Amino acid sequence: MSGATPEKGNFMRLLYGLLTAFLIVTLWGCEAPPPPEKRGETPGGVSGSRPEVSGAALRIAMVTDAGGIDDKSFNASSWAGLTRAHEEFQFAMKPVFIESREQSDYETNLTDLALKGNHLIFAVGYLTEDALKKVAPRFPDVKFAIIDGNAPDLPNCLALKFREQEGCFLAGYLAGKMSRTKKIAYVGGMEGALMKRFEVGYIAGARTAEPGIQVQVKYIGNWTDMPKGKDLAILLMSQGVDILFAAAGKGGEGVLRAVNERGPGFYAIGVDADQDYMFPGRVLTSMMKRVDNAVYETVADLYRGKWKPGERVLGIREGGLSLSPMKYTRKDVPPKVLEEIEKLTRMIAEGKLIVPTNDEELAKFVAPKI
Amino acid sequence: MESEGISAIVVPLILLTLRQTTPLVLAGLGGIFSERVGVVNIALEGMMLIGGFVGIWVGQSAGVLAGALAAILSGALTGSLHLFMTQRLKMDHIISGVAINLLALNGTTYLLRKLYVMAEPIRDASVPTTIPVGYFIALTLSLPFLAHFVLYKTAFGLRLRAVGESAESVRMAGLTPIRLRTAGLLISGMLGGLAGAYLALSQVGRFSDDMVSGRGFIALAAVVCGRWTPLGAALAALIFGFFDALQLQLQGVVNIPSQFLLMVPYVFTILAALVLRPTPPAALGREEETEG
Repeated sequence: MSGATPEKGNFMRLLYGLLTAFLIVTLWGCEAPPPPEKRGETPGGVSGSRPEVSGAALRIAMVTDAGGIDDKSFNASSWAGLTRAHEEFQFAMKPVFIESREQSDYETNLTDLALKGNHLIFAVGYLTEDALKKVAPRFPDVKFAIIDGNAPDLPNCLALKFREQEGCFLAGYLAGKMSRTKKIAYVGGMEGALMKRFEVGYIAGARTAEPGIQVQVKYIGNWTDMPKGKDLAILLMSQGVDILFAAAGKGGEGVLRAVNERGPGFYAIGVDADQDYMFPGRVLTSMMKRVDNAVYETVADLYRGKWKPGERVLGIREGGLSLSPMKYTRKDVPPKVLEEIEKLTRMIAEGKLIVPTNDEELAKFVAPKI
Repeated sequence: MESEGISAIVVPLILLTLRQTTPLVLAGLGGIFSERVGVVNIALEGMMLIGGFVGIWVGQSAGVLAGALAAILSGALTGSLHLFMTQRLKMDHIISGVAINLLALNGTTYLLRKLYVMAEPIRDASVPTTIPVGYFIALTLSLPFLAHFVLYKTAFGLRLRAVGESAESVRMAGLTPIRLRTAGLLISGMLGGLAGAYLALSQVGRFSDDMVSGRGFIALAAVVCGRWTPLGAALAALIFGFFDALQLQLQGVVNIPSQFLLMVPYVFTILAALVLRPTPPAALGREEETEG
């Protein structure tokens, strides 16, 4: 056709090659771990020759979900737990992470980290469930811990779960007490059983504080759309909502930004990590899911040779959930409300108050006497 | 601030629609200038991402307006890459577009980590002051008419459209097809970069990875629904933006699953393809000799 001369052909091949190389490098992601020392494992991963390791020789890694390491909440909190463990136990190798973009990345990333000689791999988020089911049986010597999801019934798998509704209940109670318009909102990322617990716990808490409160429930539809999160928050505030609980990954940060721009009279509530610092005074509190603690303790257990597979469910009692210390907003909250929240916290911890987890339980929920 | 009857609902909804529509219109016009000269452009998403990142990066040190200008230039550069790969290397247009999108998504994420999140000390990829959204909305309301004028009322526009129909006939007329395609792709990239600048520098004030979240593809759907005309595409983008705003408003109020409403742009595109039977420019995506 276009009669490419041999030189032109070579030139093109070179360019294709360069482009491909560039793509591979960028797709590799950041923080590629150093090449593993060969341990004689076959590519299939079935080796059985890797010795049980604990102590400073441990190599630990994590796979993020689509939110990425920079989500300032869930993944970031997991990573903070790993970093803390590394600082304390001084592993010879720094922990590494790989970020996932899509569903199809999880299996590749988990396999990749297992092949690279890591001893413990965290899979962050319930979306990694299926990938873990496929990868874990192939690497019996590698330990896997999934956060927020179900683990396959294998001796090398641990599931770390949370009773998010308990922390969201407290956040909802505070929002209900602090709202002047008696209109508050919940902004979630993607609908599902997990996010339902957030939603329902928040609503139950708000109704306990203020029986007639109106709670708007919105979902952005993904975890990355910061512009849409911001626009949604602007819409809600223009319709009289004055406190917005943002549990939507980067979209949630958009909500926080919108509230900050709107200024006094409006509050956001952060999620997962302590996000109060992001916009001091405008983030009323953060529903902290102590993924960092869960991750840290799992690493510590393995470090001390006390790894246990199965499932660990953390709630308020286990220190898995709490409201942030409210460094910037505590002074704005009436002391009576703070006392009531402490009392509710105790009631939940002692099992005297069971927070609903789905719509049916919410319909039957009777607000406790405080 | 509330319960002034219907206007309390409608005015915020209109504003939300305009804010949601703006990036779609800007990117959609970008799509038109590429496709009307015969180059399929699924790289809009990547152009927006690169524009957004460069906008914040430059905007931090040199001010937001310089940032927006840099975003436009980065878009033009991305457009030239697409041009080079499709015209010079004769790469399939879709493959070139996918490559650019992957490069943009992973490249901006990588740079965001290197320059901000993992940097010592940690920096925030945000700008202290943003460009007022109103500027971009004004552009959105006027640019489709300008694009219409350029494409249909000027000799330059006639030539652009001609090269999208047949490079050969343009050459017969004594013009150089590749120059026209270069012009189209540069304009396309600039508009894509501008759409990214809107999201990062005006709408949010921060860059975050994958913040474009598929808007480039919706914009392309608007181009198809609008039959490759600026006014048609802008109208389609407005409809998409409206349905998006509406579904956000209706969620939790009426009992329609949000996933259902999120499908609207795509269903609309399929319907438009069936009903309108839009004809793309004849030379779109076709391999032709454009140089010499």
